[in-house]
Amino acid sequence: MARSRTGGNPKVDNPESPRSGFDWVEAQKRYLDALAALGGGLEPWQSINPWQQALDHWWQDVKKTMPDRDRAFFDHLLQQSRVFHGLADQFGKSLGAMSSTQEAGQNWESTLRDQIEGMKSRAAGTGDPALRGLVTAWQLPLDTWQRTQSFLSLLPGDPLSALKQEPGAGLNISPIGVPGYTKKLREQIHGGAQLWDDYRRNLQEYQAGLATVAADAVQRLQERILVLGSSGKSLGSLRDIYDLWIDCNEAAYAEHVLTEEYARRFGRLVNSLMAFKRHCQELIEEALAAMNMPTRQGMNSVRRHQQEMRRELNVAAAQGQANAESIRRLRDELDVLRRELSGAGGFEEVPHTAPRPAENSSAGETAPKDPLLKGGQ
Amino acid sequence: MNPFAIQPDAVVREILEFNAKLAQGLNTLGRLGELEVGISARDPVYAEDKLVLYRYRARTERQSPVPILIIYALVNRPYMADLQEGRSLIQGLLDAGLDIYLIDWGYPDSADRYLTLDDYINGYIDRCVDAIRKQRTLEKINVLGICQGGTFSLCYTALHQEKVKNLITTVTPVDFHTKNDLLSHLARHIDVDSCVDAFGNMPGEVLNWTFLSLRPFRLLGQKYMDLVDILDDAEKAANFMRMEKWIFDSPDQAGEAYRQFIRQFYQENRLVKAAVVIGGRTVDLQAVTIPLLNIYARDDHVVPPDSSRALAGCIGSTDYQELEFPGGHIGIYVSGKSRQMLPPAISKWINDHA
Repeated sequence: MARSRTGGNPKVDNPESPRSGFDWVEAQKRYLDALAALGGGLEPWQSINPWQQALDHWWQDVKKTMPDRDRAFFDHLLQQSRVFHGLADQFGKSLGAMSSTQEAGQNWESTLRDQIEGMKSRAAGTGDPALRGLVTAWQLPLDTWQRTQSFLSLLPGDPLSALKQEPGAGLNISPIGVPGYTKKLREQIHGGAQLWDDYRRNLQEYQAGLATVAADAVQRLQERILVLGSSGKSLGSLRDIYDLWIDCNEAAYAEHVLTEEYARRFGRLVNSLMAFKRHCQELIEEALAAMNMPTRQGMNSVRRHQQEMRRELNVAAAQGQANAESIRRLRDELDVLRRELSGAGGFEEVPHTAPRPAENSSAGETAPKDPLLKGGQ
Repeated sequence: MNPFAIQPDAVVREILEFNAKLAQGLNTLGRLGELEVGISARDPVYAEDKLVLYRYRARTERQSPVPILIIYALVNRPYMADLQEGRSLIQGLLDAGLDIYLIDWGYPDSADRYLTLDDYINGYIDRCVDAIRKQRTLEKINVLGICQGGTFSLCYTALHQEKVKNLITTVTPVDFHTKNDLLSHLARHIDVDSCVDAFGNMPGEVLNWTFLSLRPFRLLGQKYMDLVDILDDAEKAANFMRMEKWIFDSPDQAGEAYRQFIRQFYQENRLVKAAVVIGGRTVDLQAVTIPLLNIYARDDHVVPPDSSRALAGCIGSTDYQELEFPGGHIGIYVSGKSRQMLPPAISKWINDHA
């Protein structure tokens, strides 16, 4: 039984849980670490404006004195600030241009369209470094998946880890022309390489889908700004632009995610990665079995059996309780009958098979209690 | 009209202010220290495997005679319902004179890999209900389900209605194939057998990331920009970080139960078809004829309102009420509006059905 918890010191949610003292900040750090690794294909951010540069310089100094976990969280905050600064950089230029065109009586909309077209054409993340902050934000949905994938890292003995760098790269590693085990191993590695290639293809397909979301979001931003202009409403701060931009991203993303095409693409992505993971597990299983070490399959058998025993115990406990209850009722009935018969006068007490407690033999006690039944109540 | 009412010098000012807040916020975050969650005093009254059944200590002189058992989801931790002073549904219910029990599922590990929905619903929940009935010498108790716990509550009531007096469901998915259900959409073509066979138990982190990916720009981006705005206020920053703690505190899911839940509910949408099978018994919501209060959140992005409201057309009860909360999936438990709205409404409904 877990210890009682009072309102006075509720620091740990469940003191006896395996995660007692659970370090959530550490968990968050892992999460944010993966954000940095999301990267996979992204180039490191380079400061492109003085605001971000100032912040980066400050951070380089300050972070040396911070605990790792606080540093990770703050790093993420700074990462998000880059998105904000990226918007500032983009719209700062446009705001100046639109202001001057307005003063000259020209159409501000054409300046906005040029701005938006520029953003769309560079949405893929290549080219203008000023847009990299924004591209980071567009990678957020994919980032989620990247983290999931990184979580799937295989055991230290991952036999196909070499293949995960370049599809098919490990095929020449295994000895050629040697029969028996080695031939089988080559086939297994070849199978693994195919599964990894399959996953990579699905990942590329998924990424391509997200790229269209980014372009769609920018298009929506333009439309929303035009609607604001025509309805006489205004954007009073950079933060207003940022919030509008987030709305447009969410709307584009949600619409995209709700398509049948996306659901199938996401399914293919997950399923192909799972197939690869299971293939690797099978290889590890074989190696463990060859060394006469516990395997996953063996452990699963034990766990399944353990769960069946739990169920049987629960059934037995429930049955035991029901039996005890029945016995208690029968004993009560018996007591009542004894009292009734005793009151009728013609009753001779029935000899009891259990040893009668001394106190039951006292005068006036006509319905002795059975001490054997006490525990069952 | 040009909607950009921003002068270039104002842009510079805004950026500088933002950077200053960010830098000053470092001190605020560094001073927060240990964050406390789960504030109401409680005592364990029953335990089994990793599950603990708690009874919360009364905060009023008189309490309602029939207690409420809160059944939380298997996902995330139940202290969401008791997060902190003034942001606690449980505290509000206690202050309204209700007698509250709660099931804490704990953190499943590899030993729990083969726990099924039958084990959870006909096993754990049923034994908790029996423990309360025995302790309080009652034939029936009230049940309040939260999110997936609400779905479990419905299944439990359909199978064991003789032990349930009134049922309250909150942000509970019923129809898993409504138009705007992103989560269901993501799960539709996943080979859940392959996932469970590969993972064993489903890692909490994976589920957590799935939830975050429902609104990645808000939940992974804008939210942290909002934090910068409140970093000069230690109390608000602490509130934010408490939520972060809850979000990242994600137990793993027992593999078999996860497999069954995803397939029967999310992929095959069997609950509304009276075709869910748990422990060899079919769950037909028409069998639920007791009074039922269904509370949903208008802006819920995890369980769309339509998914919850589908319950009206599935149950056999003629005493059915709905309550719309003007907020989201989490706000329904922690917001100020929630504190003002939910405990009084639940308390009144319980008293009306005493």
